[in-house]
Amino acid sequence: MSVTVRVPSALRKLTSGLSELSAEGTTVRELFADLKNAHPQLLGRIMGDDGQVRQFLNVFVNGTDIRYEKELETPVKGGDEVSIVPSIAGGWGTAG
Amino acid sequence: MSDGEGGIRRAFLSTNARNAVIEDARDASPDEACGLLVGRVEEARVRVLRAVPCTNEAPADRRSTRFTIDPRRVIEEERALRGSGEGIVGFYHSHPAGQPVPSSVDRGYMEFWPEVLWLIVGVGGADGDAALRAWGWDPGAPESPRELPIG
Repeated sequence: MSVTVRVPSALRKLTSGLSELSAEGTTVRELFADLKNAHPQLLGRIMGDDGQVRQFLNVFVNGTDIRYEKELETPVKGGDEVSIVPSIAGGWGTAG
Repeated sequence: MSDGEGGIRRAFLSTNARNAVIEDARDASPDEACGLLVGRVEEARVRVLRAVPCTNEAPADRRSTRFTIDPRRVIEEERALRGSGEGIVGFYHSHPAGQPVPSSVDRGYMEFWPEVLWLIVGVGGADGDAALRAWGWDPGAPESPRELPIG
């Protein structure tokens, strides 16, 4: 049974407009590896060259941030929902 | 960092969205307001239909010059929009202590998210007027971020 990966509006150009993808795997890392062939541009935005999730982006499994679980080794099972979510912050404080 | 399709060229704001952003900025002052912009992308133009104010999750003693949007709020709104043909097309925040131009920290987020519109509201004018300006990041363009025409 596959896992649903939710794609944010901002990144749907990279998935031909698809808002959700299906992937197989037992961890978030395996899911992303499964998606890489079909959606290499999307994975390029999610993962940095260091193999980690990029700074300005969050990954949630069933509503929980994987940074508070086991990062990319967070386990997933069929029927779970993984969300890719923009990390948005800023402000005047560090205007330079 | 992007697919290199050139970024957003123009923004259209509904009257409701414009009013909601300015009202939120005034209500939140002296703290920064922040929220989501919902609408549609039509080629290089973003059409904002409504604004969704969010709680500023920055530490309380820094909210006058910083903002953070809870990503769970983004998940909730994306869920509510499923099947509607609309999406989160941008984000807004206010600069009650400064001009409605991107700060250095704003630019970091804008560079990573060139697909979306960034609205910044200044509410610090002596006459109390709110100034709303739209910004976009054009990948590869040396002048980014650049101001976008509204309308």
